[in-house]
Amino acid sequence: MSYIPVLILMMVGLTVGGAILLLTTLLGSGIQNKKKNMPFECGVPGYGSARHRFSVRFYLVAILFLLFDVEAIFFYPWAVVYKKYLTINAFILIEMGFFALILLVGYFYVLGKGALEWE
Amino acid sequence: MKEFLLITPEIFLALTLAFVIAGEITYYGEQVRLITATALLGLGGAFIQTLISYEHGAAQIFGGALSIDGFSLFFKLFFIVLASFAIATVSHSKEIAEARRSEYCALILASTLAMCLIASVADLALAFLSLLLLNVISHFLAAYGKKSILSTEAAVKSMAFGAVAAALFLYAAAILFATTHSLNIYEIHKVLLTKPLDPQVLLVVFVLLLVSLSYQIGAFPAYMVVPDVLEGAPTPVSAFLSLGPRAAGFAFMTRVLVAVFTQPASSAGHWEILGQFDWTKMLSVVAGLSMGIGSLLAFRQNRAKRLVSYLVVAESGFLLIGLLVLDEVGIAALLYSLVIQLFSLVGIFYVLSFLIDQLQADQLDRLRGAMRGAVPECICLVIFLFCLVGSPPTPGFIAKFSLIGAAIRHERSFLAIAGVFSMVVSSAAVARLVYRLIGDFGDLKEFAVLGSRRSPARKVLLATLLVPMVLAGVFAEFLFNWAGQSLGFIFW
Repeated sequence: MSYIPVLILMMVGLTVGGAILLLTTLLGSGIQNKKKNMPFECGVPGYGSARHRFSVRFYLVAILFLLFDVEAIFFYPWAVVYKKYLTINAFILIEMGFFALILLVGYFYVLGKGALEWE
Repeated sequence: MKEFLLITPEIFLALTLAFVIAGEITYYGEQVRLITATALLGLGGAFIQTLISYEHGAAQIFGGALSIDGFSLFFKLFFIVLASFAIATVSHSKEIAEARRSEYCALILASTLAMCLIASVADLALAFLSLLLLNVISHFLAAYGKKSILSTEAAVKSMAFGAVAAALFLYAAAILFATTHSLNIYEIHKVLLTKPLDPQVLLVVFVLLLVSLSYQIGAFPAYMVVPDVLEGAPTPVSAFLSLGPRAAGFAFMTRVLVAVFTQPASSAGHWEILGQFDWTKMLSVVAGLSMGIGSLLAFRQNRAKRLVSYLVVAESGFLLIGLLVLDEVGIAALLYSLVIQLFSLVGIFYVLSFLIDQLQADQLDRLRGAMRGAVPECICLVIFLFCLVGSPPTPGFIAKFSLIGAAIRHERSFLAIAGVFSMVVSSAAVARLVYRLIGDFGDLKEFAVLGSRRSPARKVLLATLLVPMVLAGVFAEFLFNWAGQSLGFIFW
């Protein structure tokens, strides 16, 4: 019962969007020409084919982000229990230090191999 | 602190990996050879650490996630020796460019670390992580022949199969966790003793585990990817991939199946199945089919690497016999066969790598008369091949005899017949290759002489493979006793 507003929101969204599309189809002119059908590029005329290969540097950056983001994710549960375990001894800090050190080695490898070079 | 003492081999391997990675970005030119030396030294250190670990005794560490016992130590020694051969043989191969050898060393070390973890794992989540680490690195290694389209194809195929196998394994682990509320295989066993699974649920779990692990061990039904991967990958990598992931798969399969799905039988050293579903029958069908398909298809091949890879499929079938008899002697035979295969398969692929470098092809027609130009190498190849298929008087025959004997002792006569048939057909397939090598009994004068450069390093490496293999046959009883003592991984 308490989720009725969510349903109303979905209905309003579908109705407004659908109505706009329907009205433009019914009331708009049916004349087609090449310039009107081109994809919108903020006013800049498009040139060339859209089917170019992407540079592999994008992929490298995405993969490296993924790896270091997973490392950051592992920091979260550690942070939750950190204060409680620090009262026993410093082991929890040293353990996470080793984890970060291992990934730091990987980072320096990536740096040395030039995977972060953009040119 | 004692827990870290027990995993010193893995810590050693991780440190060596870190040094190899650091060396890769700092060393240039001639100093690159230091990296291979570092890797080999690190592996030697890990080997010594593993031997020292035998003093500590069996233990479960890290909350039961790892189980360090004789079984895991046996496999750790196996993997370290395999990695040492993989790194030592790559310097003689032209298929892997010198600039890429340091990265290759790092990948081999990382996969050895994964395999050592798989050998000792007792937790299904950690098992999944280690299996995935090993498989992903195997995909990278299979793609190492940069200019070869076959290499890329091998990697993509193994990736596709590996992903499906990982998903099926997770599904089986999820069902086991849902029914027993534990991921530790020994806890799962304790729960299954008191509250056994329905036969249908057990069937589903077992089929999922079997299909998933059949990719790892290269047996039916996921054997199809093995020849493509082993043929497409560069030959030193084929040697590593034909042994490492397979042995790790067998180690894990043995531990999981015996620890979870069996119970002690009335006589010591035997186990019987737990629950009403007889999964050993399913395993015997898989073993029989693997042996038959592997040897029959090997006979039909015209390329040497593909021929050997189908023989590898047949060997996986044989090794499964040792597992399904649920007998200490059977599993000891499995471990002994793996040791023999370690030396014979590395030797076969090493000589094939030399021949491929010289002749730029591995078709049987192109190998005609190769023995004329490379006599010691080809003679070693013949010995390694006949050892792999188990012809007497090679040590491989002792391995096959013990495996087929185990089948006969447990009254699995169809399996024994399939095994003997497979041995005969595999021997015929190997004989085809040997016939070509010796030049079809034709006039040898018209065949080309191969690389006349004398290489003492190559002969030393061949001797390092041949002598331990022969000694493994001479001291077979000692190895069997050692393998039998390694079976204390059941913590009931």
